Amino acid sequence: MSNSLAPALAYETIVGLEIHVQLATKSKLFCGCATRYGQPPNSQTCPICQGLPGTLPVINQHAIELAMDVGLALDMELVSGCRWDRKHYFYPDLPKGYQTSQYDLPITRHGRLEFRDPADSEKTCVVRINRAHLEEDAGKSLHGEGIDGGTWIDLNRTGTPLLEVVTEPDLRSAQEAKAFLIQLRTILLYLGVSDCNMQEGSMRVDANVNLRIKNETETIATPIVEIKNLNSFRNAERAIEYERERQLKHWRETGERMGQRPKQTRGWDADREVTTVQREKEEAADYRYFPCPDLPPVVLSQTSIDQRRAQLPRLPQQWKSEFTRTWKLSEYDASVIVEQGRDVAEYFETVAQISQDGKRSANWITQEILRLLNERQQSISDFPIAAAKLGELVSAVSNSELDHARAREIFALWLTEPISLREAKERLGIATVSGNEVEELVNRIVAENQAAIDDYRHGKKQALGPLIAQAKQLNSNVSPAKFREALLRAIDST
Amino acid sequence: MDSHNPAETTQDVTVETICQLERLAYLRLSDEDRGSFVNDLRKILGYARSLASLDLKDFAPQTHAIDQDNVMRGDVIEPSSSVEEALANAPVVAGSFLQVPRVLE
Ligand SMILES: [Zn+2]
Repeated sequence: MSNSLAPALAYETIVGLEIHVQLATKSKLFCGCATRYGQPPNSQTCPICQGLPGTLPVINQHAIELAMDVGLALDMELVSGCRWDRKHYFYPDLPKGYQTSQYDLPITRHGRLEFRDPADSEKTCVVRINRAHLEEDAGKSLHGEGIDGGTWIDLNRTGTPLLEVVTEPDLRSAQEAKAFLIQLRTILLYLGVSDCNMQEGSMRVDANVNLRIKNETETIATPIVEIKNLNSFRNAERAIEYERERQLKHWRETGERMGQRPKQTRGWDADREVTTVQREKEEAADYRYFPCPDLPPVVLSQTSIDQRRAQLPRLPQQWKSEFTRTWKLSEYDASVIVEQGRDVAEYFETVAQISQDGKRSANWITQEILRLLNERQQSISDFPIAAAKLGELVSAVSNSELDHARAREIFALWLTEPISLREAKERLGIATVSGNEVEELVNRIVAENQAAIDDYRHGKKQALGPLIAQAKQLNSNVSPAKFREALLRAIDST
Repeated sequence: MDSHNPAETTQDVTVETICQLERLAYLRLSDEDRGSFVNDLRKILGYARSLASLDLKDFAPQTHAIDQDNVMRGDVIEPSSSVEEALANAPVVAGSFLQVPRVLE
């Protein structure tokens, strides 16, 4: 059919996501078998996760705690007395004949997640989270491996704890879905609840997609399609985009509406870049959910909730506002750094504290370091230039002790030579500014800033920043890194 | 998510109900069996329904029959079965995999 003949259509793409996240526990959800990835087949099973009769599952408390962390981070209600239900279906990698899951009383529900609008970085999108429930993973099937095309089963993964996060259908494009997923993964990584490794299946995405088409008289919904097992954010984006076009075309050809056929499950074929039909979805009632009599409810006391809340690490949003407020970064730069993960955020914070120049620190990190890390396939913790050293260099540029070109030479030298800034300058023939009275300066700052130092002792690491700034005001020649070092020594020894 | 809870349905059991359950449970019954299952299930559900006549206004809804909660274990790895033990009951084994007939997706 020709698009030019069809009138322009007003329509919205409606997307809801289901994200399975493998929780970072050492042992399985209901037994003590290890959850290690890549072990020899069937070496991490026991009578409980093999589903043998007469065994009794016992809940892994840490899985509950990690689920609580996610609930707290996503502004969700934590459900005390959450229940376990059996979801019945037959598949060779599900030895019990049911999956222990949570049906109508999930551990946490009704939350929200904000993320930057991919169409307008000044705006934020909000997605409501319907629920996040705990369940056990199934084993792994390798099809067509055996003689006569038989299927091989590895039960190592059986019983691994998963958290299934279900959103409301609040996303309006493939790009929004991808931005949401990036933000969710960032939060989960900062929380440390999962490694979110998509290649190893620690994070798996299903997308529910349909269209709302407006014509002159009414709004028509097309049948919902669930796209299963999207194993990268890029594939998620492309599959949703493909499905939007396919449904529009299908509707133009058939006029088929929601309710005129059962919910369809499709798979994404990444090579051919199409979605293909897998099955017409069974109704929820066909899983014959019923409460698991083997598992008592989990009661979450206010004390246990408050404890978890107090222990939550700083979340991406908090890092971001810290970076924009204290270090005057743009929303964009702050996001780029925070999205790299906690290690990079901490690296930036140290560089900024020492250099007292947030914008320059951010530029070095986003323009030099992230590129190098990508090239070298390295993480920041293995990067040869420590944050304190880069801070010193940025500070020197910031104070006009060095111009940018010379700083880049030193930076390049540091990639291979573990030498100090002074040594690097000597090596490159750059004159050194020396003769500081660091100790005297430390004594004076300590005497005048007891409150800030107490704050630092109580764990408020950012309290050091203003002290370093003060020292630099008193003596612009002082090396911030040396001052910081001497200050820390002084704090430790008193 | 579908809010339909099968435990709350009061619809009558028919041969169609049995056929549906057969399909879900991967069983095949004779017509004779189906008939007797219809009768049995009706009796069982009728008996269960008599619970509805109890006066429960002084009882909070419960999700579990055992008066116990928070029975949990720490996140500690315990020894797993050996691969030999794990595969001991399998009718067909391929290396250290269980083997089942070809699964058609
Ligand atoms: Zn086990």
